[in-house]
Amino acid sequence: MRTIKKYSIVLAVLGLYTGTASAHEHWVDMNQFYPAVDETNRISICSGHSFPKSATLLGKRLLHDLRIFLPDNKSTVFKTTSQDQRWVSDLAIKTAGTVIVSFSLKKPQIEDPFYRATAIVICGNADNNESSYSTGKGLEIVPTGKLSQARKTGALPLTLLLNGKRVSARLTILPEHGKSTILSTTEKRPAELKINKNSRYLVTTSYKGKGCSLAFALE
Amino acid sequence: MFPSIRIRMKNHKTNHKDDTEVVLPSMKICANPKPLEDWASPLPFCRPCNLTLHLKKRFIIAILFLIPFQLCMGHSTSHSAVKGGTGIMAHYDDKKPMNYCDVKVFAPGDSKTEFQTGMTDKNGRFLFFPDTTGTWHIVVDDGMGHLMKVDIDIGETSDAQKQRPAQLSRFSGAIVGISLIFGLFGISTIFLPIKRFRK
Repeated sequence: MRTIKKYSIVLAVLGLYTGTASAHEHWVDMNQFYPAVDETNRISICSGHSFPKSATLLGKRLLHDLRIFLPDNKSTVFKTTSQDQRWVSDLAIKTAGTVIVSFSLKKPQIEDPFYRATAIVICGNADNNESSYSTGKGLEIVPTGKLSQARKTGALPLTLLLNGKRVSARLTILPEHGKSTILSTTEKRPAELKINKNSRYLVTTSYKGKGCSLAFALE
Repeated sequence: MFPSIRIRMKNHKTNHKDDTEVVLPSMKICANPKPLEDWASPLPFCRPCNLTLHLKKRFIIAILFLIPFQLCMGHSTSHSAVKGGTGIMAHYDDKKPMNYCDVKVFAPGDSKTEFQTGMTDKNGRFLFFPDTTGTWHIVVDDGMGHLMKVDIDIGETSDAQKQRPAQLSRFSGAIVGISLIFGLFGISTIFLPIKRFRK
């Protein structure tokens, strides 16, 4: 009887975890998170239940402010075309440094976006400044340590910023291979992601009804 | 010199005839006007003369101008207030409304051509007016992978309308799932002792 109880509890808990894992996420994916200067790279706007596979083509009317923040503090918008279950765009970055690729989801009738997704791309191995991981606009998950050093230190601190100010939230970490984990970040203390292997990562969260995601890779 | 038309007015009480001159500033002068007394009809354009020809031209042009206005009047609009209708209120599992989502309505027996397309309102509501009885299909798409399909049975009267939710709520799903788990274990508790007994 005890074993039956154990098994039923385990199954119920597993069922609950399956429920949380099936949350719908949106993210920016890159062919190369560490491209060379002037190398053609593909941006993909993805959506689905299982990172990194995109299962849903987001409605075009929802896509808003598709923007690339370049190393020289300038930004440019990019256009996409649909391919399979994702929106894609090809670009070549001309200067070495950190590039943030972002898009928002917004309903035309509502003024503010309800979701923002960003990806950190290091061009030409020039991971010079971790402060360049933030755009300072809207809701964004920002690493407070250098991506290039995370593999050495074995940890990557992550914070959630709202217009440049830290806020508290629970972050869901979805590695390309491996189990998802949930971490907490506060105004004072960042969440610490333990790094075991090189992989692509998707970090998602929601704050006051608005969602955001960050995609990055560790090499 | 401005052209003019003289119109004869007759007072029926006194039987007195009086001529009134109407000045037409933009009209050419008739080359050979006939004396008004010779005219049988008080209307000037009934006789064939230059003046009547000019008037005919102007009259036709005026009519031609009026025809498009008449056609425009064919596209005029009017309205009347409509109450009621059949509809749905779409929301997510967490009870948040599916606001401003695309909606397609399919009439019974036609799953290809939409009877109506539209959008849910701020509160996730959508109304339409079915014109025939049968099962109507409504599809709500939020553009982010959440698709809700609802079938509504429309009967002869509005009371006969029945809404069939296409999916279980999260709570109901959890109850069903847990019941299934316990059910399976319950069945196993029946069969395991039998196996042991046989051994």
